[in-house]
Amino acid sequence: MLFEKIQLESDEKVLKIVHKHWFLIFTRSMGIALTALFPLIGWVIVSYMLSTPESPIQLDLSNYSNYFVYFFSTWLLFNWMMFMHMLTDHHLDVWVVTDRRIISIDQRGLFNRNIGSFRLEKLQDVNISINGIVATFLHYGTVEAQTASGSEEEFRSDYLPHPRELKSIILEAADMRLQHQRGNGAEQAA
Amino acid sequence: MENPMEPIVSGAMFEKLLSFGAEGLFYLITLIFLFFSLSFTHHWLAYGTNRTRSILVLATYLGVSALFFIGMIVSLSTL
Repeated sequence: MLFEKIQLESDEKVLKIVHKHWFLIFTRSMGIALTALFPLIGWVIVSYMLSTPESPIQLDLSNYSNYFVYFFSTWLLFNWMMFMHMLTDHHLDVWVVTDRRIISIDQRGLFNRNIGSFRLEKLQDVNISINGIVATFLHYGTVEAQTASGSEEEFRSDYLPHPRELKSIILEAADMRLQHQRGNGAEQAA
Repeated sequence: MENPMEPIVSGAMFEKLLSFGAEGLFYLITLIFLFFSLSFTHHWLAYGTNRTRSILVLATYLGVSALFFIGMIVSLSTL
């Protein structure tokens, strides 16, 4: 599983695992569902048009219903695979906040995966932005973690749920980490 | 002598062509399905954060896919 791949340090604790907000997958699913139902809607409309007495073409579509069932099943299977592809992409896009670092995994398609991490000691600031009425009511937004190294590009993610809560968890963990380091430094000096 | 008004593609020929295409499509979609299913299984089991959830999602995916395959096979046999 994921944590075997990440290889957490000994006694490193996972504080939070954050996947993107469900609303993102909901809107994408609606697109796939509409596409999946498109042939059925077309079939119903064409059947209705052909059944009217004014229709210039006299064709009984019920003779071809087995063809339709076959191609529609194939089309549904194809769309189902697209949905699963999207779900996989969504589920594997994840932020893992531990008591020592933040690990950002950005899944882009099935075979493109970016993994970045930085230690909490290097954290300078965490910015959040919640834009729009839907984001405000459903509590999702963009979280951007700025590091001392300045390479914050990998540590910015959209559609993260409860960004304020996430920000406070990260800042609290960073403070604890700094206190722990100062404590260790003082012990070594003594 | 051949009838000059005889259609080049008759209804029977068209239906035969459709059946042939449908069978070809079935094999093609089965190959694509196998490829995607193996990829999904690998990704969910290797990079998922929760094994139980991964297995549940994969079981649902395969179960629903099986329903579509049954629909395809049953309708293909009637063509």
